[in-house]
Amino acid sequence: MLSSRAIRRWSTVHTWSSLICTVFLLMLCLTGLPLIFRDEIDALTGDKAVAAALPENTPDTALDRVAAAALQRHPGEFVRSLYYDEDAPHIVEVGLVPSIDALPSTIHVVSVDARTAQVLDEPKPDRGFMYVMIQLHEELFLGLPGTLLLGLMGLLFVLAIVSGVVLYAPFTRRLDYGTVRWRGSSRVRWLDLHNLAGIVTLLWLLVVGATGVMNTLSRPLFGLWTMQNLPPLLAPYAGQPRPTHYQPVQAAVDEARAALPAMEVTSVIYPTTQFGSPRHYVIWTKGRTPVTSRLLTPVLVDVQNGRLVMAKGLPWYLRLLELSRPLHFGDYGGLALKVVWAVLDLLSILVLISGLWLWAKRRRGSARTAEPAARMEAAP
Amino acid sequence: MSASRPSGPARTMLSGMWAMPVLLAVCTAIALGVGLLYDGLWDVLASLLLGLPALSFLERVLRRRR
Repeated sequence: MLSSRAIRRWSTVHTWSSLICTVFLLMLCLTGLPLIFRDEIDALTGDKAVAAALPENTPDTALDRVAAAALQRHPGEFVRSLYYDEDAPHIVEVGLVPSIDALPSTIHVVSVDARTAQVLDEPKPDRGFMYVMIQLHEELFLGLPGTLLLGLMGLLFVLAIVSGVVLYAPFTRRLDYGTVRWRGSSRVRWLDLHNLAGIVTLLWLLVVGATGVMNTLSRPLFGLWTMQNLPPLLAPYAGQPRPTHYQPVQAAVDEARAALPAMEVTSVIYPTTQFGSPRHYVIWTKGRTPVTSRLLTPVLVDVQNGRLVMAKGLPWYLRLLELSRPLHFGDYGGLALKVVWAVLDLLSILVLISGLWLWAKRRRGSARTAEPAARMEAAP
Repeated sequence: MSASRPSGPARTMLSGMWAMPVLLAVCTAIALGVGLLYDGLWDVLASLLLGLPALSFLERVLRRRR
């Protein structure tokens, strides 16, 4: 049983941790709502390229031909990446950049048929509604500082949830589970709704909040992994000029497939200093089961001699990050799970708005100095 | 409307302050776990279990409004 002093302390923690993050959390919940249905919205509004109907067993052509077809459209540019979109079979998205180490923001994509090397489409960079939602949700249009700020707000949110659970018992101990006192004052009614919505969504909120914080650390954690792994691989080439002639990318991908037969190639990053290696093809592979399909394994192949130099799983902190993604996005169980995810998101919005309303009401009550009856009713 | 606890051990257990929240948290944990680990019908089970917290909220709100 908590003493009244402890309750006051926890109440202060709950009030301020919530207040600081509420505006950000409201924005995250609102922008997260359309993002839950991103695939469905993209399918409805986008005009994704569709590969030509060919016999089912038509083999893929060499990736080098695919890359060359994209480059033919944009002579003088450089291939940065090849990406297999699992929602668009037989299509390889070729990422092109104006210079070999250009920033990732300059990438533009050419969709190419993996079997015929025929250019199918050049999707325009998305600057519409979903782009705004993603930018707000991921980085507030501020890049890494925005992402880290959101991570900090996520931490405060987790603290608000934990303190809310501590306060749940003293505030509801005289009531049945889920009691909403409709005949009480509006403050009591909102307090009951706040407590009920908060306690039923407790674990979901905690998981989505904590995995959201994990996701904000994605760039620093991948940066850390690169710093730990690349220097020893690049040390033998110290002082040598960057390679200008590359071994065929198809041969590198075949090498990766032979080394990890249980894995599926998802993308290839060409040599670059921007999230890659200046001397290697970085080939990203994933497993084929529901869980392992979330876990990526990089394979590094030397671009000059075509030799495989590394094929090992990521460290635990990146594994944790990869597993945290589906638990944050709710994209692993089909449309039904997405609908439930959206309903829980709406309940979270109710928790946030009711919390804000309770705080505003309490301040107004305090300003008038008269002790509102509601406070007495709501007191533990 | 009465806020008094119902009699009987089973009802007391379910209407107790913590029993339902703990039950809902367990359902949520199972839903998140099986949905992530397995495909197919497990995804349907995950959606159903994860829907229970929302249904519980709705049931409580509608019940007290009647």
